[in-house]
Amino acid sequence: MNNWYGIDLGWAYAELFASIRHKTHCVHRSYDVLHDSLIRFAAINQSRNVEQPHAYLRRIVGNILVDQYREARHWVSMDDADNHNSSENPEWEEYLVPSAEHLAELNRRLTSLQRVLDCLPPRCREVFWFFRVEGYSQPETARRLGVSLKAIEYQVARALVDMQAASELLM
Amino acid sequence: MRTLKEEAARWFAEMQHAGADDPVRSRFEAWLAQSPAHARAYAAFDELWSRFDSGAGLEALAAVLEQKRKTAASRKNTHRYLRRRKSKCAPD
Repeated sequence: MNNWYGIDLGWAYAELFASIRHKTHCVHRSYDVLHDSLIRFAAINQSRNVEQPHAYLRRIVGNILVDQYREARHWVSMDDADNHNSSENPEWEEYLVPSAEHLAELNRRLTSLQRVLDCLPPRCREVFWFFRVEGYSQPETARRLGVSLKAIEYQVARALVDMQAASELLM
Repeated sequence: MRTLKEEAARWFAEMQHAGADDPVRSRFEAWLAQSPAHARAYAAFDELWSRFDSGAGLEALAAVLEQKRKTAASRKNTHRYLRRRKSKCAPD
């Protein structure tokens, strides 16, 4: 119950959460970042053995925060984002320990993420893995795979077009 | 020649890492403002992206992708079957 694929959840929801909150200034966004990171971590952990799980989870959180900051800076002013700030909200402390429902929801997301990845063509899956699961930016993914940034953008776009085509097929 | 969807997806991918003052942003914004169809196509990818943030959204996405793969596989099998029949029945 207090362990999520090698991560001490007590630590994640107390210490790590506090450091995320310190950066986002928003409790809800902090939970989103933490949950997203836990999912990504579990997906990575299932494909290979992660030696220092806590350090790894921290790195994923860092990657996600950088991405979000970049987006937020352009699309909404940081002041706007702070208006959703619920730091005075007394309820947030209740969430410090993840509930069984929370963990079930995380597991559901993890299973679905793996099913989605399985449906992508191999090259696309590899790129998507680095970008959407490991949390590397596309330029970093390009460096890691030794291909051009344009090639990475092409694979990401291709995955998006594929997924959308599948969604429309059943509508 | 790219379709509008492909073009919108390429912009979407590019915008994930373009910095706030990257000159590519103004080209993107010009493209976005060019036609409501552009804006709609882009927004659809934005929506698709956000499905990764919820269990229900990801689950639905996984289901449609698996369905599509199954349909594609059975279509392929039908083709193969017909081709085989055709070659068997073809008069010499």
